[in-house]
Amino acid sequence: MTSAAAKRGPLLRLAWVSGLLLAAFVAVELAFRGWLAFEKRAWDSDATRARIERSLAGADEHGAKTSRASEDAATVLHPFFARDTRAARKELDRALEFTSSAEGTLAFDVVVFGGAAAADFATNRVGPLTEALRADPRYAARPIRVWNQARAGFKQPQQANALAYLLDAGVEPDLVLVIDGVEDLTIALRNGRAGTHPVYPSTESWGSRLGRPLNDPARLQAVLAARQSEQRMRSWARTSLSLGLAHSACLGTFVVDELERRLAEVNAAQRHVDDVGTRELDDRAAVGPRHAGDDIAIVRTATRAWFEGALSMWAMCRERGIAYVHVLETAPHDADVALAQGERSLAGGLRELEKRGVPIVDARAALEASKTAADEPRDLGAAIVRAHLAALDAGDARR
Amino acid sequence: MPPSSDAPSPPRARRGAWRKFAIACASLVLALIAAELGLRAVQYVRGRPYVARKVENRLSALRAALSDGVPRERAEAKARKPNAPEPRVSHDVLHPYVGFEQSNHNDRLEAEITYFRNDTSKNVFDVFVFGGSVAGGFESVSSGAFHDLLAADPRFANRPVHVWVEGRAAHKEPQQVALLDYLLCCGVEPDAVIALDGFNEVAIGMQNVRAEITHLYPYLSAWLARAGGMERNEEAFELALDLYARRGAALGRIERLLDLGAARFAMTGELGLAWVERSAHEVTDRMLRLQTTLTASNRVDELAPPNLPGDDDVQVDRCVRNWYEGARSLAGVCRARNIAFLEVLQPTLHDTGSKPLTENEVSKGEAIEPWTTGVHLGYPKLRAAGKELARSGVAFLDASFAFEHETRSLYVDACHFELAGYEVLSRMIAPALLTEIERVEARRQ
Repeated sequence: MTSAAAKRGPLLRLAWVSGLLLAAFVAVELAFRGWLAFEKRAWDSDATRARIERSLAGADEHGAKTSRASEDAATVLHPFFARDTRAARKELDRALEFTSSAEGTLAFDVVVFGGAAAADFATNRVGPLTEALRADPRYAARPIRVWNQARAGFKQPQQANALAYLLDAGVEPDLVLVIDGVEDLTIALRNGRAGTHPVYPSTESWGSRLGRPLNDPARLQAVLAARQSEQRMRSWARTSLSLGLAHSACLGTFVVDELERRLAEVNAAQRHVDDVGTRELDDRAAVGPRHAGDDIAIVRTATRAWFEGALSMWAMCRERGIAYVHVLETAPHDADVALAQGERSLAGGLRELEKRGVPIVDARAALEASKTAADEPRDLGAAIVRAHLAALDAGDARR
Repeated sequence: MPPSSDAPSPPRARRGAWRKFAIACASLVLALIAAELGLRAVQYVRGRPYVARKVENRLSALRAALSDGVPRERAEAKARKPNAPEPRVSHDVLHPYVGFEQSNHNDRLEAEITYFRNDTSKNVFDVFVFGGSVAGGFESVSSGAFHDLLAADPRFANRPVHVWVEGRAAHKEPQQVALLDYLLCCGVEPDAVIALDGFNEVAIGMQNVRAEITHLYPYLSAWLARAGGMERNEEAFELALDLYARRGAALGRIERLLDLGAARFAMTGELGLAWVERSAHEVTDRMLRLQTTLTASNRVDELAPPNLPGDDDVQVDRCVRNWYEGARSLAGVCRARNIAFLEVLQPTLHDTGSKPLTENEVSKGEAIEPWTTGVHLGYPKLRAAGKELARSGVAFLDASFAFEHETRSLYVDACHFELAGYEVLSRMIAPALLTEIERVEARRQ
């Protein structure tokens, strides 16, 4: 054998082995996909990628609590709604400046309040709403501006207080749009079950922030551990996204499973930060008044708080001739019995608001016709505009 | 050696010493009586006759200003004595919806929630009073003069009236709106709401502006000291510790003077009052120093946004707008629930022409520059904004001239007044509230 042939031999073997491995992987991938299809869980790489991206976004939300995330995402204590972000503060400054400008007097200003869904709607999915508004001759010639004053994790009375603060500051909205309900229930239940009053803000946004992070080595240690677990989760998600692992059913499943495990680690670390943060507090300042612990009582209190907050917001707007629409958002499907009962209570509260003259939208009904997730902003926007125009027409008719 | 016959026998010597002691004591008592009478005579000749009740009221008002800003009846202080050996030093804590709150607020709120869950509350007419420390002082007439004026109305012949005082020291809009929102969310059901405010909005609003933070935020010192992680700033921490100790000492002195009934005598009353006033002055001085230190901290920007630019006139306009919008929000929130609402502009010492000030009031009414600027520029604007409120359908009572014809000394400092002041105010507020209640009832029918 010549020396050249001897050199090619191992390379050839390596190519054979690699080819066989690749073929085996393709076979396994196909078999796995077939099995998934048989199980009626056909592999969807787009959905998996979206799932990983959502986890990264969730890590950013955590990051605001323990890491030096972006300047705008960092949250600070607020005297009237527990916490605020720099981004929301800047938005308020811009709104104030705009209100007093010549352009501001011409524009139709929509200010959105609520929790995470409202913030998402105001920042990412508001296009169809403005289009639907422009379709009405009354708004065809007016520039429409949408201002986001919703913050993830907000619940009543945080929305009501945020509106009162904004009005006191001098902002003059034309339409106040509130999208809430889910966090009003989920946070109240989490609070109530953990011994915090249901009307108080979430522990993450209030109780854990009353501690003394710089004076407490245990808290420093907990924050460090939380940051490290966040970092591990982020790098796993980023690497798998950049390698496009979601295209493969086998690798994608492995990535998602591992992501779930790392997310659970992040959540546990975060809970530990919260526990350490609240342990030395004047508990009553952190948890509010005492409240009966059972789920029925918590749901009753949460529903009342949501209803009263909504009524107050509408009343503040009515006093100033500002249009108002309240959207009860759809809750994710959940096995939690109390949550399901709470949704029914909120639906009852929504009907009562309607009886009192509050323009409302039940998102569940509004989205019934939506065939895909992409249709939802269009259908919700159209329902909001319908409710707004109906209230406007009724007001005109009364006048 | 036998004892000399000239030397006094031991019993006689003892009697002599006792006699001398008795004469000395009697002389001392006589001297004290003479001094007491002399002092009273001098005060009488100067046109300021000594009135023990006034000194007692002033001590109570000082105690209130030093603790939680809420003047209390003397009887209550006595009734609490066995269980409250320590002076009630203010212990404000952070609150998620109103910035800062008294540490006992959770207990109070629990009692209110329980009361409103009970069916018997449905038969009671519940009036809520919101505002700053002057509204808090309404406690002194809530079960007396003001309550009786309301209860005497025929519509309450078979319906008890309960006045709940929700005024908090240094609170200003939007804290009143935020507190009402929070109480409603918790299950509180008022039949009538009074907002007695205006002073803090312009005075504290301008104090915040001078410290270069927004007028919309709560009283700067109270907010920053609690939200700012003061323990990280050593200088502020030491000042706060000093302030805490001095405030405790001053309150202790006031409690002792009140317990000993020092006000019964002109000498002890006046001397005691001068003593505690000096202590109170030191406390104020320390508070201002703490505020300066806190605002110099780098973290202020994070905890309180800066104020917008503009001269004093523009800044005061913003403070007035804050009050006006707060009143409109309160009115709207109440209207949606058929709750009678009355906005009352409170009187204040530095509002020129609002009261013929006595020499005593002038000497006690000293205030820091932002407060006087806020009042001088702000009160005419507040009155105009109040008229605008009334035009838009909000029940508004301009009580800023409530003491216009009062020649008595009523003010104990730049903004707080004695019981007699609250009684005058009650006589103005009660009929205005009754008119509004009637209007709401007519609307409901």
